[in-house]
Parts: sequence; structure tokens; C-alpha cells
Amino acid sequence: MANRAQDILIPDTGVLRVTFLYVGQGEATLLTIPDGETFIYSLIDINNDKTNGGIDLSKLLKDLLDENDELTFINTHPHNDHLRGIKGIHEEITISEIWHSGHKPGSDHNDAYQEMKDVINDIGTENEFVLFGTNDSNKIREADKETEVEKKLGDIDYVVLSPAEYVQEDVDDEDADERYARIHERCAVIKLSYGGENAKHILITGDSDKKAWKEHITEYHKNKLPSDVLSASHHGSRTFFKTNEDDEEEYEEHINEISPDHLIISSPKQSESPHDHPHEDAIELYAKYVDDDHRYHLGENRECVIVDISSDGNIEIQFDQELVEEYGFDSDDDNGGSENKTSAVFPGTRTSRIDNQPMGKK
Amino acid sequence: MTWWFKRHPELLALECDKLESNSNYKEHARSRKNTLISGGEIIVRLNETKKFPIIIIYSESTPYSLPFVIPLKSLPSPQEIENLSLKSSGHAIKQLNENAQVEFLNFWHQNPDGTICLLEADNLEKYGEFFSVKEVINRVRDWLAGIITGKLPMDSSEVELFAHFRNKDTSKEFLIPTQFLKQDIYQGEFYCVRMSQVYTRIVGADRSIYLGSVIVGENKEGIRISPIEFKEHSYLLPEGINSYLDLLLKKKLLQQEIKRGSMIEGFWWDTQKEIKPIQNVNDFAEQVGDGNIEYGFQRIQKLIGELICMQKQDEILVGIRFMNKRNEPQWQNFVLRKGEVRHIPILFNYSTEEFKKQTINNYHLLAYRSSEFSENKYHLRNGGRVERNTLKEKAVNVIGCGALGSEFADIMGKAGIGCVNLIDYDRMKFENSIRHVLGTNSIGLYKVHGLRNHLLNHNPFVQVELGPVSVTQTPISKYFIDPGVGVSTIANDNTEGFVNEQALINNKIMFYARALRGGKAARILRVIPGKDACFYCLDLYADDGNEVFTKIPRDEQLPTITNECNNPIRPSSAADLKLISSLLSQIVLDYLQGVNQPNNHWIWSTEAIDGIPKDKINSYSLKGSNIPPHTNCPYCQPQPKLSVEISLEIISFMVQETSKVSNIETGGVLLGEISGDVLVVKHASGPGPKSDRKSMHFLKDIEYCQKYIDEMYEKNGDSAAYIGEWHYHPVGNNNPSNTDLSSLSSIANGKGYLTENPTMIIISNTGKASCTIHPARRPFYYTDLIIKEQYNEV
Repeated sequence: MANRAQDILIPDTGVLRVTFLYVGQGEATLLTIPDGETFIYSLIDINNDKTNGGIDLSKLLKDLLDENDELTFINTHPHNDHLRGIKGIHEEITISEIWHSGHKPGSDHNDAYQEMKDVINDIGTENEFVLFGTNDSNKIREADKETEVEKKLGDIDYVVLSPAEYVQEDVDDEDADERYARIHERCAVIKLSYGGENAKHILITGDSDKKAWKEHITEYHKNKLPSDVLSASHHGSRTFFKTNEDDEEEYEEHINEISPDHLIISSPKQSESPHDHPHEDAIELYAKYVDDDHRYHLGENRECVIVDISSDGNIEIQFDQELVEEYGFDSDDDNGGSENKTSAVFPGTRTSRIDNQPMGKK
Repeated sequence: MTWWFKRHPELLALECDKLESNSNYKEHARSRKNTLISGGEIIVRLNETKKFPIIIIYSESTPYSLPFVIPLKSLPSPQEIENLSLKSSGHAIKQLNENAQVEFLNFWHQNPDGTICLLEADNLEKYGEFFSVKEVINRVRDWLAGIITGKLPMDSSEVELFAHFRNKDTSKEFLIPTQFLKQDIYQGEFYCVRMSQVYTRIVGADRSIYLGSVIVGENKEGIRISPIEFKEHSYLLPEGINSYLDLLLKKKLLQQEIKRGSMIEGFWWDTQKEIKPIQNVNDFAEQVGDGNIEYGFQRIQKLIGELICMQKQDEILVGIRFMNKRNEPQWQNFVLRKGEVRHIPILFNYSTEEFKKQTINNYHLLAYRSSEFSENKYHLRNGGRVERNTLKEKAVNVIGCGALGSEFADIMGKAGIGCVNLIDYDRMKFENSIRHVLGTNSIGLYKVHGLRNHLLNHNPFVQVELGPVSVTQTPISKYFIDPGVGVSTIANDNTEGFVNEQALINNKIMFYARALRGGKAARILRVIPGKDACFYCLDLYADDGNEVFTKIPRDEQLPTITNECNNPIRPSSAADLKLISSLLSQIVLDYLQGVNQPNNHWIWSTEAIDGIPKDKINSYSLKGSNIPPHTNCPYCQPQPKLSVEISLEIISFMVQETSKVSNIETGGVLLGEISGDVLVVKHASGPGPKSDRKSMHFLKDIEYCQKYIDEMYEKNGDSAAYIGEWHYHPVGNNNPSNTDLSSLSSIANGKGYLTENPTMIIISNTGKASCTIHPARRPFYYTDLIIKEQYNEV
């Protein structure tokens, strides 16, 4: 008998469904990939985080996957907000393969990274693959980081645009922030394509920053960049355009080339984000390329965005709040979800309207 | 006026949140004066993004009804929203229509007032949650997306298309049998017969219900093919018309019946595309032409060109058969009604263009409610509780069609029992109607006739048979229809005693139900022969004072009202009898569907009764128990096997008789008595002088043997009663032949011979005797022949 996860996340036969899941301050994108008459599943990044009412991915995936289903887990970079909870998921469902960026994080992110290593140990290194930038479709590397292999993901195509180098050993005098930034500079970027001659493209950017794009990606992969849907890098952070808040040299060449119709921002409400994501200055820059009606901030209404692409290349964007209601960490509380608004748009319609009612003895 | 948002302020806040925070809906204005109204756009993001201006109007019955959503031609201003909000929801919708602000998208699910109804979908109530504006908006968004992509959300199978037509006529309604949906014929004529009529004085306007009867026409190649007739309900056809052939040959009679309204003739076309909410003749032609209006008019002209151009009829019935979203054929009828004639008739040589002008200018198109009339759809609402596929193979023999029996029969018909067999001799009297399922319009009719009509009116798919006038005058084997059960509600001990005996002997399963204590209590029992206590067993238990049987005392406050020809009329209300018949019906339906029933005896009571423990009878309780057959019940206990005792002398006599004839058969009758499990042969006759004896055939001398029987009885009394036959097989063995078996069966079951267990002794040509017993209605068996030395008279 179908459950809510299956009802919502499994599309009609032949349709690619990419669901940008609301996971609070983090990112998780579920791919329901057509594979002939059936589907395979892949999850790009994970953040099983109890704060901000994000989706409990273990619970969701346990409902979604049937006994014989397996999941390919893809990690853009080994930071907590993209990797937290991987072991818990592996305990609930079968992770058959792990594709990752090949980086080793600093100590702040070591726990989640170790979880991934544990899972890899469990499934065997023959099921471990590493992402490496290329202009060829469907190419990744084996765990030795050298041997390139062609590997399909069901009926879709993908191109790994980044990293071009793996962050491994410590660099002398490098502090945690520098290492953190170095990983963002080398974060995996993946483009997904489906729909035959009229194929549509979805660009997953992880936390890739201005430096990554300016120095490593845009120039080398220019003709691969145009995409219909862009998953905003780093939860809508300004680092996609600027080195920091004071950087006046805003970089826009990449988004100009990507030229997205739809933008997905995976972060909680700005007021709930510890990093104030999405950044106002970033939104202003995004707005130059994607209008109001096509920028979707998952945390605004605590919802997931579902992108469907049919085999003949038709795209449809839908929104879902039921997954958050059903699988959200605080779904049993009344303080989560879209009801958690602080200001009303039309206050006069929801509050008492008073008038002058005389009182007193006389 | 009371305002829902004053009663439910928390709901108001939630709904406001959802209006503001739905990514599919961009709210532009909202007002709450007398009505909460929100205006904005639904955004559908596909290859291109489209925005649909809509208005959301909350009804006064919120949250018990969902808000109305209406597509608009343009986005309403905040001032317009505020003005509308001063009105009630109904008036606000009316004003939008009067101001022509409503955008009609010409797709199913938009009602004539512009509101969108998307609540019929099957899964609306899944997960048992309450629906808010969020779901409504999402559903409207999906519908609008479907209009663009051509993939509309699936309808439930029961979505009502008729409600979506803006131009419709409710004076006629059509039931379309599945035969009309068969794909062989492409276009042609059809005929419907009136099922029922409701008059103005009852419902405010005359309404007639028609059932499709015959469909005829040509295939795609233009070849006329055989008509398909819906014969199951031919009883509705007017007198003189029994088939399509009659329609062809008796044109005058057909025209008379059409004029009277008892039949109606129509013209129809098959199309492949799903029908849209057709509003006019042009829409109709577009549908008939599968999207090509000109081609549609050509097809229409071929069938009704002459009628239209010569303006022969004020009304023309037209139908479309189309494939719906579920890819199932469906049918929709319309009427082309002549309006103000703006073009004079054309008598000859009209072109399609002229025909088109005539049709468009002179005729309005109105939709009739048209519903599929199929066995499956008809029984759909019973699904899961009573399964038509199981029950259509069963029969229920309703013995007694009084108030209780008629209610029971009514439920059996509605449950879809394959055959309901009605057995009753009484006619309806006016005072019956107060409790009977039939009304005063059946006064004077036999109850079974009225009830048959009533049952078919409710479920034309059941077969209703009429049994004998009286069950006491007719053997049960003559009227009981198998496989199934009998249900007696006669409430007469003598009659039911006889039915009980008949049912047990013939191995028929019976239920008995009777209202007691003025209808405040009831007893229902099931009797599977040999397994359950029968009617007679209960008497035995009662006589024994056995607690397994609960005696229910009369309520002296509710005595018998009157006695009609030995038929006592006891008080009880329709409420009592309907309840009891419902309990009885459910028990019977469960049994017929194989539901495991641990009980065979049920007592219903609305009150506790003094002196009876509450675990047996309590207020508003149905207590079940299992009562086994009584050990002394002659009907229920298995018959013991009889052995046969005979003296050496009698056997010697028989052998002696055989030696007289050697090559031909001989024999005679056996007299004696039954003693416990032993049949004692005390006398045996010879064949008699006029017997017919051949090598493989023997017929005793009837006159001689009868005289022998009578004289021996005169002399010896009961100890010399007829108990069987003996004869000789000079050829072959001493097993009974088919002729022997047939004769003994007739003896056991026939009324002349006063025994139900005749024996037969057959002597072989080696002098060996076989002995068999041939019980009535049961298989014969071989038994021991005990030969005693003791001398008996011959």
C-alpha cells in the first residue's frame, strides 16, 4: 500500500522527478530517475537536522523505498549541512553506492565525514566513486581517484563540472576557515539533463563559491552551463557572487551563462538561519536573472519544490508542503510550517475590527 | 447573520496563513466584511509560466464547506474585492456573473456559475485529514495545468458531467445500458422506453426517465449493421412493440407511442475525443467532428439533415458516444430544440452550409442528464459489503410477503440477489400499507405482483420469480429455487411446521424470523438440515425446559389486534419491522456470502425481560447462540440403518417359487413390521396368476397381491403391513437393476405405499439372496438379511 512519500515522490512512468527537500539549514535533493518502466533513486547531499523543522530523511526514505530498492548517495562536499545523518539512513535503507567529492574536511566536519567513511566501509570500496570535473557525460572515477568510468544514472545524463582537484592533506598554517573555503572552491557541481531533443537541465551547485566559478568552472565548461533550474549555491549565500559582504567585485558571468528560468534556494527562513541565508545582496543579484515568481525559497513556506521533466522535455514545477507536515522533525508540534509566520500580509482580515462602543454608568 | 470567522477565529488565522504562503497562489488583495474574499493569481509553471486570475470566496458554512474558487477574466482590484466582501458568498458569485467577470474555460469541473468543483476526485479524503484552502488551490492549480498540458487530473468514476452544462433540460433523464457503449456501430438511431414519470404536482415539473432500448446504425465504412437490443427490460416496452422489427414494421404504432411519450427516438454519433461542456450547436458539431466543425456538421446532416432543414420536429433527441479520461466509452444526450425560426425551411437540395445555418440559427442545444445503466455501476455502492458477483448466483425464496417479508425482499433486491422468489397468497389491503413496503397504489393486487414491480423498480438486474399461492398445498421441491435459501416470515406455527418438515426432507436451508412482543423483540433462526436445531427441535427443547432455548413471553399490553381467517394480526410498528428485517437480511446476506457465522439462533430485543438473564436478552441487544439439533428430533437425527430379519421358511418358500420357473423371473410382496432397527419379514406372497414373467422382467399380479395384503392385514393387523418386494434374477447376479431401483424409489416416495423404507430381496439363480433398503429421498443401501429358524406363516 502506498504511503505519502511514495504518493508524492514517485511520478508517472518515464518522468524524472527532482525534489528539492526542505531540510532546514542544509541541502538534500532527491532524484527519482526513470529507468525504463521503473525508477531508481539517488540523493544528492543530506542534512538530517532537527532544527527548523526540516524533513527527517531516514523516515522519508524508509517509506519511499521498497524492500528491493537501493539508493545512490552523491555528496557535493563533506560539510555537515550536506552530509549530516548519512549513517542513520544507511541503517534504514540500502545505500548501494556513494559518489563523493574526494575531499577530507577539517575537524569541525569530521563526524559527518567519518559517518560517510563508515558507510563506505560497509558497502565496500568497489561501490565508492569519486566526482571529478569533465565535459563528458556520465563520467566519474573509481575510489582510486584515477580510473575514469562511464556510469549511467538510469535514463538521465549528467556531467560533473567540478572539482578539478581534491582537498586532502592539511596545508601549512591553514586554519579551519581557510580549509572550509578551499572545499567550497573545490565543491562538486553537477548538471542533470533529461528530455531527449528538448532536454531540460538542472544545475546542482553545492556550496561552490565565486572563486570556484571564476577560476575553475565558468571558463572551462561554458557551453555546459545553460540550465533551466539552478539550485542556488550555498543556500543563497552571497559567496556565489562575492568573496565577502564587502567585496565590491560582484561576479555574474556564471549566472549569465547559466541563465536559469527557475531558482531554488535551500535554506530556512532568513530569520531562522544561523548565517542569515539567503543573503539579501545575493537575492538582489539573483533577481536580475530570475523574477519573483520563479525564485523558490524552500524555508519561506517550509515546502519542497518538485521539478518534473518528461521524456519529451516538458518541465513542470510544483510545490509540496505535505512531506514537511508528514516527515518534518517538528511535524507533531504546532509551531512549525507555514503557520509560523511573524507578519501578516493583510492584517485587517485576520484580526478583530473594533469600533467605538460607549461605556460607563450613564 | 452569523459569521464563521467570528465562531472560528483560529481557523480564520490558519486560512489567512495559507492564502499568504502558497507558492502556487499569489494573493493580491483580501477583504473580510461579511464574507472573506481573496483575489489573486494561480501560477502554473510549465515550459512557460501562466497566471490565472481567480477569486476565492468563503462560504457562510465554512469550515463545513470548502471555499469557492472562480477563474476571472482579469485580476480584481482591492476595491472590487472589498465591495464583494460586503455581500454574502452567494450574492458575490451572482454579481461576478452579472458583471461578466467570470472566465469560462469550457472544461469539466467548472459549474454554470463559474465555480470550480474539484472535490469529486477519489482520494480527497485520504489520510483522513481536513481540507483547507491550500489543498483547494493546489487542486485548482493541477486542473489549470491539465488544461494547458491536456492531461487533466483523473476524475472519479462518479463525476457528474450534467452539473457542468450551462444549458440543460431537466424534463427528461436517460439511463444508457452498456449495450449502447459497444463499439461496433459508429452512428445511427436509438430508441428509449419510458421507465417512469413524475408529475408536476409532486416535483414542480413533469419529469420522465427513459431507458435505452435499441441502438442501430452503420459502422465506419457506412455499412448498416444489426441492431443491439437491451432485452432484459423488455417488460417496459409498450404493448405491440417487442423488438426492433416491430419498430420497423409498426411505424404508426411507434409514432403513437412517441407522441404519448412512452417511447422516444434519437440520433447519435460516436466520437473519440473526450467531451467538453458543450454549450451550443457549434460545440456539438465540433465534438461530432472530433475537433473539425465542418466535418461534424456533415456527419450530423447525414442523419438529421432533412429533419432540420424541413423543420419537421420541434425537438430532436441527439446523443454522443465518446471516450472519457479513463478511456472508457460514455454517452451524453442532448435535445436540439427549435427556437425562434429565423430561416424558412428548405425542402430540397440543401448544402452542408445551408444545413449548418439552419441548425445554428433555429435550434438551441440543451443537455439531458445521461447516466450509464450497467450492472456493475448499479451495484457499486454495495461494494465491499454485498458482492453482486457472489450474490447473483444465489436465490432467496421469500416465504411470506407481509410487512416483514416485503421489507426483507426489498433489501434482497437491493443487495443484488440473482433471483428473488416471492411466495404469498394474499392481496394488499389498504391497512397493510402502514407497515408494508408497498403503498396504497398496490391495493387489491396480489402482494407478490406489487412486490415484483417494486423490486424491479429498485433493481432491474435481479430476477424476480413468483412462487405458488400456498406453501401448504405445494411440495417445497416444486417452488424452491436453488442454489440458495428460503426465508419464512409467515409467523404461523402450523404453516412453518410444515415448511420446516418439507425443507428438512428436501435438504433445503431455511431461515425463520418472527416479530415478538409487539415488535419489541424478534427471533431469527437458521436451519441447515442436520446441523442446526430445526423448528421442531426448538419445540422439543421448549417442552424439555432446556435452557438452550429461551422462551420469550408475550407482552400482555400488546395483544393480538384481530384475527383474519386464522391469520392473527399482531401490533408492531414499521420501525420495529424494518429493524428486524434489516437484522434478518444482514444475517442472510452474510450466510450467502460465506461469512463464518458461529451462531444459528438470534434474539433481538429493545428491552430486558423480567425473569430472563441479561446475557440472553437485554435492552437493544442482539444475542446470538448456537443450538444443535435435538437428540429426539426425527427430522434432524440421522436415520439408523435397518437390517432385515426373515424366517428360513419364508426364504425356502421364495426359493421354491423360483425353482418352479427356473428361466424366468418371479416374485411377490413382503409383509411384516419394523421393530427398532430391524425390519421383520413375516409374510411373503407369490406372483399371482396374472403376473407377467419373463427372463429379465417381472410384473406381479396386482389384483392378487392387493388381495393378499388386505387379507393378511385383516387377519394380523399392523404386524402384516406392506414392507417391500422380492423377486428372482434367473440371469446374472442378485444386485438390483436400474428398473428395480427406479421401482423401489417410486414405492418409497409415492403416496400409495405406506412406507418410506421399503426393502427388496433378490434371489439369484444359485439361490443366494441379496437384501437392500430404499429410503425415500436417500440413496439405497445393502443390508444384512438375518435368517431365523423360527417358523412363520406363509
